[in-house]
Amino acid sequence: MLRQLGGFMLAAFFPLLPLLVMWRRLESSGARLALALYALWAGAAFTNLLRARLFSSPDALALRNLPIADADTFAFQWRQTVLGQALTVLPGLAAGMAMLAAMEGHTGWKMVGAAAAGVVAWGVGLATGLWVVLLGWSRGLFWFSIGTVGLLLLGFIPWTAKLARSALDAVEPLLSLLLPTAWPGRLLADTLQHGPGLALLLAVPAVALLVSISMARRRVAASYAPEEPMFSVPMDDFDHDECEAATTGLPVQPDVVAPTAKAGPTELEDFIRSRAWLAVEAWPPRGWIERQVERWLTARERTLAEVMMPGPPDWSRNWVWGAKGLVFSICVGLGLEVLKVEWFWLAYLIGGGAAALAVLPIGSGLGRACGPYWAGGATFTFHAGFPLAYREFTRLAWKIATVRAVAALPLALAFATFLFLKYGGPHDPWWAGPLQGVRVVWFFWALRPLLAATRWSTGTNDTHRMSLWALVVLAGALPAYVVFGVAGLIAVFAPHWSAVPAGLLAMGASFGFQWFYGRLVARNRFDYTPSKSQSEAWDGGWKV
Amino acid sequence: MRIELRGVLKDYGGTRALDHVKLEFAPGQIVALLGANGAGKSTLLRCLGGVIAPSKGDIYFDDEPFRRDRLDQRRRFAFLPDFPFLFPEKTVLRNISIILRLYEADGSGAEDRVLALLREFDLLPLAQMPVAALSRGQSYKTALVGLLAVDPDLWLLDEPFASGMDPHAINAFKTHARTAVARGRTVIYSTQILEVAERFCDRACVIQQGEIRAFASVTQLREQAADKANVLQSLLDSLREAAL
Repeated sequence: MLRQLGGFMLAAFFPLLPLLVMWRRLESSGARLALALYALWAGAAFTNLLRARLFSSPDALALRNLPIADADTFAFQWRQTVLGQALTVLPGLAAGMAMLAAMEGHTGWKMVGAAAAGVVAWGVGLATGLWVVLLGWSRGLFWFSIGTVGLLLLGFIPWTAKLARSALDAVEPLLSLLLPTAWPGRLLADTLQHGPGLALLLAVPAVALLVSISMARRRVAASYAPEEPMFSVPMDDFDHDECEAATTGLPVQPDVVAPTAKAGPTELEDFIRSRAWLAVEAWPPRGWIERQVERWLTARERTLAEVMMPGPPDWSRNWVWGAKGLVFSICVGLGLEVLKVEWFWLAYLIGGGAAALAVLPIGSGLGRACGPYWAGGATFTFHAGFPLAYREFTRLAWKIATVRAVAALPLALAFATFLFLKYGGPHDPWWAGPLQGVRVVWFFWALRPLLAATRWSTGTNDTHRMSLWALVVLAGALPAYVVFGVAGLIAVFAPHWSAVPAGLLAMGASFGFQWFYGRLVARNRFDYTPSKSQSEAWDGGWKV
Repeated sequence: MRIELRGVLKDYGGTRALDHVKLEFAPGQIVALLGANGAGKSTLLRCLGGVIAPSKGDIYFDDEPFRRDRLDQRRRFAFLPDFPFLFPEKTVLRNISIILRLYEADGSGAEDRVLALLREFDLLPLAQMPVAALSRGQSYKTALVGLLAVDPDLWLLDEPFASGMDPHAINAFKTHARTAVARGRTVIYSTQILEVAERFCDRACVIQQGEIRAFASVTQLREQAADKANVLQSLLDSLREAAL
């Protein structure tokens, strides 16, 4: 649910802040232009959101497979959609309109009126989307709108681009009149600026559109049919190789296809004799980071990854999300700064933090190995059931971390360089920025051995109660964490060359503890019985 | 593989599960671990399987101290608890594939071995089913097929006769165990079913409160026992009465 609401929020407000920037930069007529551009985008966004939620959301597809009438499915999906938007887009638009009024120096009842105009804007957007869906909408409209708004905004990066400005000024009145989603904004802007006037006429079609929602909803419901789910496609018509090639862009390669659970005995026997099932399970072709990791791992390590990972990794997709988040946070930060909002830096902090979580090798993805496994009367650590070693675990974690760290470098370098260019100190930002990016990535890469040893430790009883060996572990872990923390932070923030010895010390602490803990593991000092909290937390997990 | 426990002691907080156990298992034997609930049978198996570590003492495989991190030693045995280690979301065949690869026993001939075992244990029709969809006995058979396909030197099985396997699979398991022992393998299992243990072991190891009370062949125990018909039952009864 939260994810869906987040999607609404992002889709509805993504272009709003840059447009607000334009508003301030372009003075009075710029406000109308900004509203017109936003209206263009909002119309397409509302349509797209409605289309996705009503017809191809997972809920709709799941309901399609149940003995439920399409009308009931539509009613359910409609309620969910309206509720979702009412909780997110509606208050956002109301607040946004009120903010616009405040920016123009209007207070009191005028702000309340502006908020009401936001509510109307939401209703008009919903109605517009519904009618476009009803009249037959193609995805091209959505991407055309996105592209247009993007290009127009790009045209305004050099604020003095007169050509772009004059072209937009020419089309603005047309957009404002033709796009229903522009009507409430235009009505508000003109009323606030010049008092009630001709713009009030726009209220008539806006209200008519609001009234028409009920009729449009009935007509959509009458012809409603969710998209056919993928798994109901007749297998004869479904070409797996072709589909895979289309999605990955890779050439189709003949392969041994594993028979299904319903395969006949001969087919199964042939498959077993083929030895294809003995091969390491390939990760789905998701992205370049996974491919690079796969290339670097030995056959044994790929088997270990299959054992230790709860599922195929998602590193490339996370990387893309991190990159998008970073770009978005930069746009927001710049916008807030132009609006002279004091806490503009929060956008960079949040965006940078989220991107760091997504792209940096903070987790190894090998969590299953050290997770608990219920084996009858007791709970053991999962890896204890198999012949695999601590050093194999740490080496695999290190390899994964190294590839992910290298992959994270471009983003870290770009973001740090941006920050240094904009707010940098006395050093040349073109080398101080990238260097800082490298340092941050290094910090998390160097931390991995310490974290890997700690992760293995969570699958043992090494510190469950006070004992000599618990003291030994703590005597190794605490100094390692303290030294790494202090020296690592010095290495990240200290002036350039003095950071090198601190960095080496931090790496020594991290790799040193990994080695030290490995010595204790090799001597069979601990039981592979995870802590009680881990075992309890596992109840919702993947046990048999 | 010769297995030796030298003064193995295991404490769980204030509870002593194994008390200075000294044992030697010669290769080519089936050993049944017997004892009341909480006697220490499972703890002994888990120590041998490297899942838990002795508080004191050491375990030796062919006169070399066992270290959990030594893969050459670790690959020489397989430990099957009553709910064996499996990947529930993966298919039967994929589970066996992982086990074979981890033990590096996936060389030429593995496919024929596995095919024969799947047929024998009635798992072939289920080979492409996820383990999570199987019954407990079928899951156990999956792990057992993995073990048999690997053919390690030492088999450690916790309660195999209470694992939910059907009679056909139990018989197949016994046959394989006998064959393996003839090739020098060692099979150590725990059970509460004395009738089975009497007929299916070369030596019985009776544990009470963490101490080894008897470690001899059933024939030897029978010679010493008053009730020769139910030798293990009478031995356990006498130990229980003495403890009371």
